[in-house]
Amino acid sequence: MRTLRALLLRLGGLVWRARRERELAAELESHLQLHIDDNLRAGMSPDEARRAAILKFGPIERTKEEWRDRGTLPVVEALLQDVRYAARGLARRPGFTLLTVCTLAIGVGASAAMFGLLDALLLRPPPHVHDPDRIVRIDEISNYPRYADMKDRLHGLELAGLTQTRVSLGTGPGAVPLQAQCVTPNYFTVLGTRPVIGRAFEAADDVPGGEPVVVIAHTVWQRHFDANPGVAGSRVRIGGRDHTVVGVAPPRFRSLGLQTVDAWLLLTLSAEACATPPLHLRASGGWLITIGRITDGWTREQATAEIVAADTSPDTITTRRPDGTLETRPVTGPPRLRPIRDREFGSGAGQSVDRLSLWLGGGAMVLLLIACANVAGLLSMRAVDRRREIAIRLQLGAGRRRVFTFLLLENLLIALLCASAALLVAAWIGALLRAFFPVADLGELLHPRTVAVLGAFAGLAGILSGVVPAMQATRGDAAAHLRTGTVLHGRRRAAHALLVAQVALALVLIAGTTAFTESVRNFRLHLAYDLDHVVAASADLRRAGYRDAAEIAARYDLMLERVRQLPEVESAALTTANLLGERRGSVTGVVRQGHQPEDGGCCHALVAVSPDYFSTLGIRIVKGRAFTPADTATAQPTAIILDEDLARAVFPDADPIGQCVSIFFRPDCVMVTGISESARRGALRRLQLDSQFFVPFGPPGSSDVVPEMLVVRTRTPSRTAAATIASAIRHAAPDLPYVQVRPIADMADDEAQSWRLGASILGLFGGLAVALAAIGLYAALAFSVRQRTPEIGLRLALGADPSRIARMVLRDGLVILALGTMAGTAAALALSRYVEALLFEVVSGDVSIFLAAGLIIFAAGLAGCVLPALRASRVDPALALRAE
Amino acid sequence: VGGRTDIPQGTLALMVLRTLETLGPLHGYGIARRIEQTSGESLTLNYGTLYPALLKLEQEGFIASEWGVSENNRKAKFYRLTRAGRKQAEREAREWARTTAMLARFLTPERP
Repeated sequence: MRTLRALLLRLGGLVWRARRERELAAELESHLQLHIDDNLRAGMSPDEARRAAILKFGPIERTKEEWRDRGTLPVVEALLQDVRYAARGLARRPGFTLLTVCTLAIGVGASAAMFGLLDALLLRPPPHVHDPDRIVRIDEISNYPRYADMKDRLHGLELAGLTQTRVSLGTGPGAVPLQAQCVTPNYFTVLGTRPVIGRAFEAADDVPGGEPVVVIAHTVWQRHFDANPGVAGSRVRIGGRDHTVVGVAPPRFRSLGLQTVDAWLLLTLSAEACATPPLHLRASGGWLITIGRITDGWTREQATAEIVAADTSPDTITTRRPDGTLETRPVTGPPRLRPIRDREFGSGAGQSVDRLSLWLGGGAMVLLLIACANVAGLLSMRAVDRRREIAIRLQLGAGRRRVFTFLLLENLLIALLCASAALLVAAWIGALLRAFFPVADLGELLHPRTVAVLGAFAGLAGILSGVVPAMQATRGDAAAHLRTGTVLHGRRRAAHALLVAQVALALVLIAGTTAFTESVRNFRLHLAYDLDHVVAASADLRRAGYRDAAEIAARYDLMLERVRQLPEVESAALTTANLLGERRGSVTGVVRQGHQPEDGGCCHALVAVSPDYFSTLGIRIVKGRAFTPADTATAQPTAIILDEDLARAVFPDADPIGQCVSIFFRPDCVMVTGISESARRGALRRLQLDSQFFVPFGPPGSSDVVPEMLVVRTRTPSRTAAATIASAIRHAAPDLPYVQVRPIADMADDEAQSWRLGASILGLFGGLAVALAAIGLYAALAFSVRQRTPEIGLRLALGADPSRIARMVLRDGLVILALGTMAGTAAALALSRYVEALLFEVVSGDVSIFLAAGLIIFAAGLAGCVLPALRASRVDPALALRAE
Repeated sequence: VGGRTDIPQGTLALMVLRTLETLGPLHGYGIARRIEQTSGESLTLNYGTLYPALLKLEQEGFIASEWGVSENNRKAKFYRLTRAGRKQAEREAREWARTTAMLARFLTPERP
């Protein structure tokens, strides 16, 4: 206790040092005076009195020294002194400090931001879900009858079911799209999530014919309900029916997936908006996602055993064996409980997002490595510069350990500066990631955990890049350093190796970027559409409660008319198909008349279109003609257009134009009037299951086939026209649900998102890496020129050609670049096999990619070499020699 | 210097405490003089060695100091015993008494 108090006081003694010194001096002075007074009184002469007092006091400086040592902590004091000295040293070389700190900050910031992303995506549990480790997914139960059958018989597991859907909130110009989940009433109970306002669903809500209810997301509540605390009980129009808001979900709650969810509906009561298939149907499988919570006290094994035992009536499929007998077997294996952390939840990108983000995280680590190598190079050069200074310190008796500590301290100081700069970089890259990443609210990317990791990265980077130079500096014969300024060749070789590594790593990043950019480009090239001038508009009228086909057709006709009047619009057409989206048109067979193919002509996508469809989208008719208004006169189509693939499949040996085919299994002749190019070319076809054929719409209301999308060709760039088109449509029909209007280029981009993301993030990292490598190269060459100035001066004085001197320096740089490029190409080639799966139509080992990457590196590197080379050729021999 | 010894290890602190206990608040010079007188001039004490010891005692909270004026009107820093210091003085005095008593038993020749 006493010792601690003393320790604290001694620590405190580190401040106010000057004042305490003064006080001590005053105290000792007063002591001497008192003594002198006594001596005088005893009859000594003033001189004698003073001398006796001083003699009696003893060595005054030793007293002061002891007092000081006791007053503070000498170890800490020395450390503080070193810190002060290091800080002064850094401030004296602002260029060097800035370069080092910025370099490290870029590497550390990027890594930390990527860690934050990975943390948010993969490591952090979904917010507001109680004990998420006990929640499982059961893929084998995927329809309602099976769910209902199992639900009440299990004790170790409480099951809940959900589907995903998109609905419209409100109608007319104010309508907004919502991402909704349709769930069973116990959903929130199973997740353990409590609404912040109102209540969750209750079993009592779920009565046949009951009032539809909705739980809205916190963001929706803020944005569309003005954060009104009395929102519970208010009524909103969702998907064509009035719903009562019963609760508001907690902020950032997004169920178990990564995508935003805006609203939760009941599967049963909002069947229309949810497009719930008839609940009693067993077949139609695969629409329900089943999750469950393992009851407290049960283990996963026990729960699994129970559900397997309870699974007495699995869905079966009956097939005919080759010998003609029937075979019935279950569609799925026994139920398994999978952790929800698998993250295959939600739509689309899920899995590849995980893998992609891991790769991007790797990219950030590469950048960090480059930064460390760069800084290590800078520091070791600086250490050469400071050989003399360090040698002097060692010779004057400073211990090696003290000098080593001092050098490390300097690096820690740099690391500290770097960490604060890295925070800025991380925040900036984090904002970029947030904008790009196809997932919901990532929460706070600069989570405390991320900041901790950032600090660790910074410290590690500072120490890693500082230890070797510090060791080099304190090792060896100090006296030798003092005598001459020998250049240490081993050290230069090490610095060059670091540079080669940097160039190689930068090349890997650039090659990665190029590969992703190529993927995006290839993807666009594989679409037949004119991406730059087409806008698509769609409203899901069926989910909004329109049941009458004629009414839906009339609504779309109205939209078509409005849009055609706009000056920006060149042409417009209606179609049933989502061009690139998740749903395909209805699927049926196309059979050449008089033929009976084995598979019944299955399965091709039927797309009903209005006559201007092909010219609007920019799809070429390669043979025959497009539809004319005359083709639309009959309810049953009389004309058909096949895409190239289908034409080849149905008519392998004949000219299809003018031939008869039958569709919908009807005997009527539908005449092939044209052949269009396939919407998707080459490799992209494997992403689309079916080839397409086109029929004209009949008169409104004549069939169940209704338009689902309006495509518009614009005169102005599609992005600017889209807003005009959207407001024209929304204002034309106030009763419409949300109408989505998007340039189809954006829709294509959605599909190419993982590649775009890879290209942009890796591109950013790659650009930074190249810049760092070039700076590193510049610094190294400039340093070597400075070191060799006497030698160069001597050569020039002896009559060497300045351009040869420049070439000599340049050659050094080029050797590094060449070695780095080779090493980088080898590394990238080795890695490319693993990334290939993430790319589109980019072959691993594509020479053009490495060529492009190599060129970029070379150009940047050369830029870094030129200046030092020039400086070398301009050395003034007289000055250089005199300096020696 | 015959007959005079250096100050034994660890006893200076106790001497300071005892001095302050007997005489009340006192400046460094006064403490030094008193210690020398009390020891019957048998100690060689460089007065300077007192000051680090005073600082240590102050850091440990056994004494406190403030500036004041001496009897002959000189500014001086006065030290006084704190309550913890008083207890410490008693404790250490007891321990010394015990130690010396024990040692005395070893050192005095046994009576025949």
